[in-house]
Amino acid sequence: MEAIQPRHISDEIKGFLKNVDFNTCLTCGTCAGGCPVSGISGELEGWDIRKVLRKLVYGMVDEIVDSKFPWVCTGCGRCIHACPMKIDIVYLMKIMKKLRDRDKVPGILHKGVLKVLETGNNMGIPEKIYMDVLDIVGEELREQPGFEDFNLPIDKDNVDVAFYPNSKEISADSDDMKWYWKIFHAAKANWTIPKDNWEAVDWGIFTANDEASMTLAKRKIDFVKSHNIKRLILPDCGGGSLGARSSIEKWKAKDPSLAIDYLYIYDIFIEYMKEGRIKVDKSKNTKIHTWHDSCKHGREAERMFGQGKYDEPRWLLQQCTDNFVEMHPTRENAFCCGAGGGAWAGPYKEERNYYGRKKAESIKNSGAEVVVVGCSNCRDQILRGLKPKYNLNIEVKYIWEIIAESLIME
Amino acid sequence: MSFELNGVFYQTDKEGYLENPENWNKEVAEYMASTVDTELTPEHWQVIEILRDYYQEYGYPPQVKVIVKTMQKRFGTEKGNYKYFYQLFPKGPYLQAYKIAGVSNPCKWM
Repeated sequence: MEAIQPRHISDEIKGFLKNVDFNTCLTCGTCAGGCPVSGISGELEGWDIRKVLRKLVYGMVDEIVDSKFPWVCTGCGRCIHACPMKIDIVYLMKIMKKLRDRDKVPGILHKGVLKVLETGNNMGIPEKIYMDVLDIVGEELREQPGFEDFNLPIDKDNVDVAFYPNSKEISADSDDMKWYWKIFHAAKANWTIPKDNWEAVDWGIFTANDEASMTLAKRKIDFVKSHNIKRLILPDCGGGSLGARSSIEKWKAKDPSLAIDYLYIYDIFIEYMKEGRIKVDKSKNTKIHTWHDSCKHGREAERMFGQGKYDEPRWLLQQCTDNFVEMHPTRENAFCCGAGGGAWAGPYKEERNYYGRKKAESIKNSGAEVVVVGCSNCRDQILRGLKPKYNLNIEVKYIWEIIAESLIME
Repeated sequence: MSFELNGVFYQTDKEGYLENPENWNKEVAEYMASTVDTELTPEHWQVIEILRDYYQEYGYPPQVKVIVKTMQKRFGTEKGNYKYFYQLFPKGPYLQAYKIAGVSNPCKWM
């Protein structure tokens, strides 16, 4: 039997790995205990994050980079949250993704990154189709009582907030945009959406392509600056918000003149409610509601920026219903739905649904009839992945869907 | 994957969409329709024509809302509505209409 020999590690990889101190790892396995990947079957059977860390200690970097493990990890951050030594496993998995040759990035993720860099949106939707869809959705909204004078503000100067759609809304789920639009209209908001480079989400963060994330954030900064817009609403997509926010902060550190103000979608709706600009009717929502914490709005935002968005969506939801229950575990301990980190758009459906089983249990145990979310990936995974897979008898709604459908129009 | 029609081979992706939409012709449409249990009528062809027109002009297939709106403009509200569209293509735009029109499905990962 041969002894295990550490593989040769290139200087490039050493450069990446020098930010992670494996000597502090207690090999306690707390990370694996809290990670939904543990216990997985199929190609990754027997793998868990503790074992991955040990392999890396032995220098088996290639084995991890070539495996699907980093792409099954959703970057939910439950491991580092639980780790007594706070080893940055999310960062480590990002490095493993970064080391994958771009032409071997699984599924369509890298293709989407190239498309957004080239065309301004992940799916390469031409301007004509984008504008046609916006026109038609606007026209449909004007047919609803209270919205007869709705006009979609595109590329407006000197407005209060800029808001970005995502390509899923333009290509398929276009009616979903009406909820945002209704709220802005009811609040008499001074807002705009961009005509070019309109993609909200950031697949650079899903493929560990920092350069792409920086480019996408710079486009948003340029749009806000050139139109003299007061604030950017960060994308609802968890990864999109984290990618945009961290890259905007990096640009600001490089050049303070690029600083822009931004806020989360929850914050703007709270403003509208507290200022009395929108009013909602609680009697419309009598079913039992629960809140699903997006990891990137909650735990990961807290770790990276010092505060997670836990209270804000709960406050909003409780303005719309008196029938609210928590899931367990919740807030910073909540389980990921399984779709984060690009897993929803990725090709590993079985692994994604396995990952989400813990969330499905939390949902079932809560007794809720309506699961409310604030991230489009979480929504799709819970509605189209977990609900059929685990026979969940639930409705899945966006928080802005509930607000929009409960609006009292004056 | 591929299929053969009149001695010509056509490549498809793993979900059965025509690999190269430029190779599309009416025989291909008939063949694709047979793979999704559809017998093409003149009404189907009106929708397929819109899909092809859009694709030729913009290099991208139109979203279902755009198809319905264009149907409304060309043939009036009787044919320009969702109910009519889904009667023709009950499996939906992506699984049925796009496939028959030989355009790739940009939404297959959604």
